[in-house]
Amino acid sequence: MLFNTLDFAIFLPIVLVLYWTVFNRSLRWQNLFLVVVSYIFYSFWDWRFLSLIFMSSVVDFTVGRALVKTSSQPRRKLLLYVSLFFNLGLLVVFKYFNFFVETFVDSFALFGTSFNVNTWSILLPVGISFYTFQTLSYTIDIYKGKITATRDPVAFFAFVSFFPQLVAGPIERASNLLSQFEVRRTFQYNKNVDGLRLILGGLFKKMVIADNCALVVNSIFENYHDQSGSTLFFGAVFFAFQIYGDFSGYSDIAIGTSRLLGFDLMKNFNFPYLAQNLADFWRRWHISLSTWFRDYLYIPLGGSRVSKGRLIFNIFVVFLVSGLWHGANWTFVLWGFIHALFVIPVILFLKNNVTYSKDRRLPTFRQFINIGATFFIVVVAWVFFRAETITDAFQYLKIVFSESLFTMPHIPRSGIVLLLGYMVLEWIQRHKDHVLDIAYIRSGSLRYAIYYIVLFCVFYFAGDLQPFIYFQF
Amino acid sequence: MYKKTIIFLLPVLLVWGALEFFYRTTETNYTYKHKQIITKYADSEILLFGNSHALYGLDPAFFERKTFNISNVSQSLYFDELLFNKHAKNLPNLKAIVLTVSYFSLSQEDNTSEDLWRKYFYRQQMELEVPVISDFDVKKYSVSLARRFNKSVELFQEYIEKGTNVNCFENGYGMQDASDIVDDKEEITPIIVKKHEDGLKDFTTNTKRLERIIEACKQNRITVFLVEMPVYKTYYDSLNSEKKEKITSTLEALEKKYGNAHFLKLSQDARFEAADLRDADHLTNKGAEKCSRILNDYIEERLERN
Repeated sequence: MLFNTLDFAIFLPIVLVLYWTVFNRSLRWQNLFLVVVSYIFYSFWDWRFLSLIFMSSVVDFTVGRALVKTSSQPRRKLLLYVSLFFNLGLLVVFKYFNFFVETFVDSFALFGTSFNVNTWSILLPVGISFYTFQTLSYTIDIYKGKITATRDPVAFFAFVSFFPQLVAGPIERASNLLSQFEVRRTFQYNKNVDGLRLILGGLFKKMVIADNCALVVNSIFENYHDQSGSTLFFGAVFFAFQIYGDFSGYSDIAIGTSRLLGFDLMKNFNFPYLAQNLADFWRRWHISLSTWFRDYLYIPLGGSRVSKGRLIFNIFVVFLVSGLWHGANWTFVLWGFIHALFVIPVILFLKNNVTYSKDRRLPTFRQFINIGATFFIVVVAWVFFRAETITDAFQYLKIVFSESLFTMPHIPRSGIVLLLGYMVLEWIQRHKDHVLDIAYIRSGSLRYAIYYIVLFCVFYFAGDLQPFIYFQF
Repeated sequence: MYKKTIIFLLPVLLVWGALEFFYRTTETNYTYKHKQIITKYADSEILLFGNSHALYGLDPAFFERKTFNISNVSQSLYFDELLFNKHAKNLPNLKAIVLTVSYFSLSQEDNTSEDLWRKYFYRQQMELEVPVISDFDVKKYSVSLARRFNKSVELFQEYIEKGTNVNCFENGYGMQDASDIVDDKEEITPIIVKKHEDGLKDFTTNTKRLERIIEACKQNRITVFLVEMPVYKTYYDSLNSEKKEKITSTLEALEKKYGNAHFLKLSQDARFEAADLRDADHLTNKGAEKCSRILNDYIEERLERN
């Protein structure tokens, strides 16, 4: 069930009414109801994969309980390995098996040795990369003593399967989300209003920005050989907004829906295209994933308190793994590599922490140049993310950086103007929680007028229904 | 909170209600054709089925026998069969049916995303039982939810400007004029080719569908004419050769297998010229007249022979 469909528009109000009226009596009933509706929500994709979520919940709940009951370090380590093996095993089997086999065969083919190995024809369960990382963080945090294991299996099952963020995040930590499942939720007016704003803004990003950009992007990338460099460049720019609108729109709806149910999820996007360098970009883009890698990979590798050589190695590892997390294709690995390449100089030589002043209406000239340069690098890297193969990506960029870059592009120019207009809105709202965070506007009529304008745009200017890009990860 | 939300959503609910009222009270090609075929039950001898290629390519006015064109834009063989099953039994004088087969017709899957909204209109406005619509699908009960809002607004504007949303004549032939003619057919051709190329070559479902229709016709002594409509040369040349050959061989096999089926291939018939086409794959009024006359002669010759 997609957030931007009629099915969800019917599903959510029914869930909310039942949640706040019938099942509001006790914490146990609230959680039990959320488990049931989350499983129903997921079964709209493929009910067979519910067993994976169920097994993941059983394994990590059991491991968590066992970890707090034992003080023997070897036994604790063994329990952690069980959790790691199970969760990463699921990912390897369902997501990476064919990729590893094909890479293995290709590597040996380079040396003239050929293997005849069969790959599997298996479906990728929606959201597997998200919920396995979430449950992994739970057992790792217990192992490290950061949190204690929950005694409530229903709360844990609800935490793993929580439908707003089940299929595409934000990837929550037990310390933030599981603790909320252990306290009975009460209806809060302001939280609900902001939740609705987030949902409205998210629908706008997904249906108006992403789905309209997708039409342009698909036609350009499918026939990139026949296009000019300038058209291809703007095709990549449109893709940058497609993936941003798509994923941040999803996150906004997920966070907004959670608020309607009385939960606070972590912020996943913070106006990423206003980033002033690549490190800043990663503090603003898919924050739940980048902080996950920071806490569970970068810091265990030594973080930044190591030699320069080791620091460079650590950054490369994090970004290459992050690239691979997105998909079993070398294009994603190269995408991660490019980001690492531009993050390293920032961490080594530049001022890492950049902020915007609340007093200034416009960015300084230097900030403006930084935003532009960062966006340019991000756009070039997106070509690798979007292309089917690495060869396609390089050929695409070869055409971009040819003489035809200076010709008139064949793109909808109104689209560029509207995207620029949207970026101006983001700049105005840069210190707010989200782009439709307009509680500070005192005039109720003006707020309502803005809501209606956005709602009209969602209905009237929506592009053709497209699946969420991040569902494939 | 909920009171405020409902008040906020009230205009949205009102617009929804107004659109539903509009769709349920305004005549469209679906309601109009449905009404017309019922009035013509007693004397219709030939029924023309198909998508826009038939809608704008076959004019019943140029057939000797009483003919009705029940085709519609994007009408697949799935709906052709449903319409045939609904109406054929009520047509005592039916002698022949024409099924136009386009490049994508045989490979088209049921209930695909292409014009997905239309199935709700067939059900609601042509009174067809459409099995692919689930009882749990809300669009089954509200057609305004099936169409995108901007399309509904466009349709409403058209109604305000023209006073009707019906774009076909009483005999079912689609209305078109000079403004529909594309100047540069070469330019538009690759786009149309791409749109029509589904990459599928499995004809099993639709071949069985055609066989069911032909069998039913045989029992009622109705002759079936399978027709490949004329298309622009560059369009035809750009299509997948293997698939084109498979379409031809499938239709020839049906002709051979059933005594009451005939296959007429007009896709690259030399009697048609570029000026007969308004774009890559649709005939102009003049082209439609020519095509209708050719098909009429062919039908009459075969019916007399039988």
